[in-house]
Amino acid sequence: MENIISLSLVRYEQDFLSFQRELPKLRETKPNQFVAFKDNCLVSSGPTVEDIKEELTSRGIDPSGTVIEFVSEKEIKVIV
Amino acid sequence: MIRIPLIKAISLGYERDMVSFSVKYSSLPNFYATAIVDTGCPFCVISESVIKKTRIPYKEKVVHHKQVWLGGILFELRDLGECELFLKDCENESVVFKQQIYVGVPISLKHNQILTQQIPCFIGKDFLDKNFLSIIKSRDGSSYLQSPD
Repeated sequence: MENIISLSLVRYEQDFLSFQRELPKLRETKPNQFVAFKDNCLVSSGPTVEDIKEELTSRGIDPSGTVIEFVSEKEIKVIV
Repeated sequence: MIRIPLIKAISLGYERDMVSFSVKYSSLPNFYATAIVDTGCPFCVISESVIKKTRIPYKEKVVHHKQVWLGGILFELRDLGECELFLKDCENESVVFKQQIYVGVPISLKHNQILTQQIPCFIGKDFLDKNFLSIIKSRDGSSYLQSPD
């Protein structure tokens, strides 16, 4: 079980880094939308997480294991 | 000794030390997320954008902190209780911790909804203190969460 989780973590992290690499381009093509990355590819986009969740589920993709991030049109800088 | 590699990634406009993790809540399947490791954040907080990926009924959970400001946005923290938190170490083996988890739910969406959508998850000081983990910076530029022994 834990081996499956560690493998899934490696894949999830790679998908997150793919999203990071694509982010500048996504600001032009998917502004102010949520995007989903799986296996290093953009697999869905939409205005809400719920929309993406529904689409992924209908395609047999588990949303809870998928990178879903918001793409703002312009980069917002916040000190936390 | 526990040694967990961190990734450098952009969140809210700046490069941060971040880590991907998995959470086991109740009998539901694990969900996955990436968080900023933040020694200035008292709690481990899951963003609403992430929790919406799951089937966790987070809106029914008890409000632990009623008003928390973050980036000019007012949140309430809802208590998911103690969950299992999985991270991967330098050998890509999973390491499991018991951890109190909160969900950051924005109270008002009137102002800056764009920013609200981008609020990330946080691995906070409570987790680091409880597990004796520190952020270690290597000379080669890599970062780790590491325990002393």
